[in-house]
Amino acid sequence: MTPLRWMLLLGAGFALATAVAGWWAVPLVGLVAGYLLPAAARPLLVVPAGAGLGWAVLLLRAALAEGFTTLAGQLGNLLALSPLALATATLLFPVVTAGAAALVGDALARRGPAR
Amino acid sequence: MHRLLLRLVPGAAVLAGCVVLGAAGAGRLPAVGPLLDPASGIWAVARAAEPIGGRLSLRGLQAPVEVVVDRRGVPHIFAASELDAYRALGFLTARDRLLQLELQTRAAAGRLTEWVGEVALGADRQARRLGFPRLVEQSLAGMDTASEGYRSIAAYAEGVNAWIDGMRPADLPLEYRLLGVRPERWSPANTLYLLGRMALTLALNDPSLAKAAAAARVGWEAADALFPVNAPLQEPIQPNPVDRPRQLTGPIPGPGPGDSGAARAATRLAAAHAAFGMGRRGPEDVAYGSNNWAVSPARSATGHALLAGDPHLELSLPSIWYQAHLVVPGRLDVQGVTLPGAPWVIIGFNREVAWSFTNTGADVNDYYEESVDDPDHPARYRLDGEWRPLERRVEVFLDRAGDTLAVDTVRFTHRGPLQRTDAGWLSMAWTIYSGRSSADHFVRANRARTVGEFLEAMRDYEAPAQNMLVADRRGTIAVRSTGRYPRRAAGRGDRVLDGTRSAADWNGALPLEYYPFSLNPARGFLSSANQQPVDPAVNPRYLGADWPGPWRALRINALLRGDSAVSVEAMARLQADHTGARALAFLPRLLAPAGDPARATPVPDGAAEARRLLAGWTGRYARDDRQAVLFEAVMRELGRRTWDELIPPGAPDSAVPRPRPDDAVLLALLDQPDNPWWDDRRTPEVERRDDVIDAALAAGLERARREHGEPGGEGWRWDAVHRANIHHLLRIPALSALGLPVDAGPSTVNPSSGRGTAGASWRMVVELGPEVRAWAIYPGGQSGNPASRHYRDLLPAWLDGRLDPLPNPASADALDRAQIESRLTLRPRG
Repeated sequence: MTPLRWMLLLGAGFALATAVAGWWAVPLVGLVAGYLLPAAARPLLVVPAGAGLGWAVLLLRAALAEGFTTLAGQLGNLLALSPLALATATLLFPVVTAGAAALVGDALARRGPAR
Repeated sequence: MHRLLLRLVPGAAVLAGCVVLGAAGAGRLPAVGPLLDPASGIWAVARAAEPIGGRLSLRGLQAPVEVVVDRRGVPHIFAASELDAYRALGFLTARDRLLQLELQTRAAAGRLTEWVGEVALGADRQARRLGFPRLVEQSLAGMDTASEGYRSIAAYAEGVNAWIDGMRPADLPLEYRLLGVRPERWSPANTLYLLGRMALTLALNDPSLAKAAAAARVGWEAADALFPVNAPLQEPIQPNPVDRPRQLTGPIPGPGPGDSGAARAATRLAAAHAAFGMGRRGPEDVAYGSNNWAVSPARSATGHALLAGDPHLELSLPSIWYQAHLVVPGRLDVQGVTLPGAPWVIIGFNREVAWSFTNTGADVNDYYEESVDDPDHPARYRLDGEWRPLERRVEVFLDRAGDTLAVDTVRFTHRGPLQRTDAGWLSMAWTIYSGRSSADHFVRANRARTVGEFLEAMRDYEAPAQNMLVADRRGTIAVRSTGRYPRRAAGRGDRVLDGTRSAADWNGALPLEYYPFSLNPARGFLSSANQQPVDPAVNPRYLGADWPGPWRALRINALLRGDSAVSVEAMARLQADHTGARALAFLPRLLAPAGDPARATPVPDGAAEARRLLAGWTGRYARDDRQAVLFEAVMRELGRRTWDELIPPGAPDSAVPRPRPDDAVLLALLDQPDNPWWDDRRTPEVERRDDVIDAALAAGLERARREHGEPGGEGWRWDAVHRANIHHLLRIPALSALGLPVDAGPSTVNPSSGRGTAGASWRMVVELGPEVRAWAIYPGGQSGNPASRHYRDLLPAWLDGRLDPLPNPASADALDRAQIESRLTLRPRG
């Protein structure tokens, strides 16, 4: 399977797992994926990308709700951030968390740096 | 191994940081994981704002309930029994207003520290000092669990809990996420907390402190005249035989020597107010009044009785009210506003009757100076020469983690809570301490089919005392100021009483036949606007002594007297009326040319210009008006210069506030041109009325110029000077509606004063024809979810003084499809 397919698969997995188990799914899935993914799948790249993709899909789903734009503006005012910055933070958080988890998982799998 | 560590350690460090940040946050940053989670975090709040519909099962329901939500987000609930209707209402209210339900309960119970920690300790301590937890426990214990009242609040609680128990993670309101807390299950006691808190909000009659503070400076004779027991301008709720306003004030005694006994009394009263948090809480309370009026068929354009009501309270997002329509075939068909947390329509209408309340403002609490056995840790208090044990209650305040933050001992005499103050140990009696709930009253009133049935349902209602206006389809209109009015041995309750004698205790309450009351008066209309309910010449029994100026009542009555065919549109216009009767009363006096030959001072520069600028003003506080600002500045100067003897020299920060007589007294004083009060003690001359009026005009103009620029400029627009501010319940600016231009002013029928945070919280007009029709609006919307289309959708119409027609379907299928937003079927859960 190509890294792109791994990323899409992980994106679906992160989205589903987050919807079921909440944000804790991100470090857990990241850790497991980092541990299990073969080197050819480039886990340190596809795991964080998959996490970002999964949350982007969920964010897109939330954005389909009628009050999303209003809410984004209110949250921006509330947190003294632009709505775009808040959305960016929402996507960065799983990327960094899953990336770090994948790094740990990958290291625990005792794979060499050549991967 | 070394390579492994090189990869593992930084990864683990970043991961640990992310997990900590995600799970616990950092500094003021809340836990970002659950917050940002797009499936159930803050972003999901938008999905939770979608209209509710489809089929849901509800624990406790006895039969299916159909709910039709109209385009304004108002649920029309069709149930087979009243208890099921209350369950459904609880469920829907929790869905729309969960934060409000819990926040107000916690505030009344003194449990806010469990949410926000020490910052709320002061407010929590006050709630417990007032004895709310004890009161609610006693009320609940005293309620018959088989009574309709108890069963209604228990069913409502089941509905609220059904929502809480079935909430998806996405349904958690935004504010809970920001506070990092979870909702607590609802209990019937919470409804009683809500009612207690409402009684506190409306316990405004505070005749004693201002008068004592004035007597301390100018003696009791003058103070009694400046702060009279009876309103100086009588336009009572119970109409007088001769239907016109009556001036009561005679010559006002000039300032005399201060009374040091009064100074001590004022200090004691100020201490009592501080300890118990009762009395007026600031200038905003001026707008905590209300209007209602009803017109008999003979005086209405359509030949049907009409009723209007607009309670003035603190404005908030979401609103203090939740609109609902409950239908139980053959039993109940009532629509109007409920208080989130209580299952009954408080102000509204059914198929036969409409009603609305204004606050009576009766004197319902007294303070007693108690003698205790130990000044630091009292266990007993003295009564009629014997020591009696104090009831003691240990109140524990918890923090967010559930750890003890503080422990207080609250003591009670047989009268009520006892508090240590700067002036010794004081106890307080308050009518709500009887512990009798108003639940049964509202259950029965909601079903009333005639004015008589409504009044009968409310006959034993106790607190807060309300001017209950009611009209029915038969054309009957009536008003009764209903509540528990204590009978006092001293006749009045405007002093701190001697607690060592049981003779100082209340001796029962005024019987119903002495309540201010009117039924179908000859003039064809009734109204109330918080003025003194009955002329003392007609009924001299003491109800209170702190009546707000009668300006709204004067304006309402003047317009109703002048209209022999009142229409629904005229009723709605009157609710939004912003011409000040106070301005109309004072303007001619301010504009009259100074013609007093005995005046002491020359006419100051600016007085003539101020007169010219005010000439032609109609007294309207419209947004684009450019004269109201000058009038208000002149009035401020006039009061300041007239009542200068009441200002303590060199003590601006005294615990005892500066007393300021009502403008109705000032108006009466204008008829006494050489009264000693006109003299400005700071000048060598002996000023007379015209000197002070001219000085106030000149100084008012100067002040307006200084603060708002040149006359007639943009800075003088009323909406540049005064705006309404509707805060979110947690005072979060991003979720508030601030700086709203309004056509409203101090003392106008549509009121707005001070910081603009209070005003008409609900406006309703009902026509009691063959089919009852109603129109209403309130500032905000049905939903407490800031992302909802119903969070503030009613605000534009409210600002413009427009009313929405209210759909009033008799069955779930009777509502026009275009008016339906969603349908929901609630089914019993197995």
